[in-house]
Amino acid sequence: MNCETFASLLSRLWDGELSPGEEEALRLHAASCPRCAQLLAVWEDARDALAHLDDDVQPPETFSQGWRDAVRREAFRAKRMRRRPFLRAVSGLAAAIVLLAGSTALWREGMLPVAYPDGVRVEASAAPDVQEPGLMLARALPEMDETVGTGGPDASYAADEPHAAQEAAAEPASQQRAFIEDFARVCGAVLPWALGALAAALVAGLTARQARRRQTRRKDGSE
Amino acid sequence: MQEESRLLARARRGDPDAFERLVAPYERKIYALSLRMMGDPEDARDAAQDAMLRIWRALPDYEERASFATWVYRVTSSACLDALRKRKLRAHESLETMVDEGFSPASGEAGPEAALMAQARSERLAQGIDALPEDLRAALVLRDVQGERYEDVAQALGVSVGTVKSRIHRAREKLCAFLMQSPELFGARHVQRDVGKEAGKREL
Repeated sequence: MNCETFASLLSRLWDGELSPGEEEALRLHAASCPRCAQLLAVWEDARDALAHLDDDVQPPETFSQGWRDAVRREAFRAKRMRRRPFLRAVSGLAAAIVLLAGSTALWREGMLPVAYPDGVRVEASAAPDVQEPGLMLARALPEMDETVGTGGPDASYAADEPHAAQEAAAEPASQQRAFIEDFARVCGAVLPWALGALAAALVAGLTARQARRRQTRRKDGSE
Repeated sequence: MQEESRLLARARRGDPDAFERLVAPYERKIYALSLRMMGDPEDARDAAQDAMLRIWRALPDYEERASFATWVYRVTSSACLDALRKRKLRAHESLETMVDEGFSPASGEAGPEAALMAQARSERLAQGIDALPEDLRAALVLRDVQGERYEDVAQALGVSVGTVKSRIHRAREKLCAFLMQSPELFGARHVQRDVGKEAGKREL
């Protein structure tokens, strides 16, 4: 046996895979070759030392408690999410309603008609942009002058007074009705977009979840 | 095994108590593997903790084709290798560099007591393991320190048995070449024993 063959057998000797004849030949060579004898001694020492290297290793308390706490936190979070889908759905719906109602109110700022004592009504621009009240009044002024000029200021004021009073009385109810109508219009306009966004979010979420599961399976040994 | 199956089923459903009881028998080995892989107790603790969380999260995907122990080692090895890759700031010399530079143990100890000798040997061994390339280190630690079978090591690392055997052989060669630089710690008693045997034979 030469030194190269000797070295190639050391791993099998370590694993106890040599036949009795092979081991005898290996040790005979070591007996006649100081370098191989040293090599054999180191390999056998290393084998014994590695086998007992972790005999006294104990995990620290920070590790033991740390992973237990982390797992419990995750379990609690997952449990809470699983148990409240209904409440989450209701909260989401309530938030959506508040958002739509608020959007309606802001939108109506731009559509609200302005009434004056003499009965002249000025409509704001049809676009949903918010109109400044001052700007709306300025736009109404020429129309007010034209109306007043025809029948004298006192006559026109007197003729429109009961009509204006009726309008004032009916205002809260009609405003409520108008609000509800506008709310419905806003919902109708926003709803298709909201449903589309929700569908896209669901698809994205499901896709991401599938990808995470595939990655975990590949990485952590599920075949 | 039945108890383990029962705990596994409960842990999969999100029961943290069942999970604790399921992995408690592996806790020490998981930490020890992380310690040998990371070479530093702080890093080992973080890597082992990450491994535990990964095991918890991946339980639904464990398909029971490998034994639970093998699968746990796989997750732990994977967590440690990921941590090592992230730890780019840590520089460690290769074993060859250390040998070429004539690395020798600290001198000055006239005759260490047995306990000091054992500690010195453990430290030298840990240094040698730590200087191995990550893939060789993982294979050596699982096989020669943790005592796992070649087949289980192969499954844990996601490679073939032949690849594992090759890696372990190279790891042993590199490690022992490094340890040969410390003749007073490794190989000395065997040489003395062989010399004694030879002397006895000559006398006969």
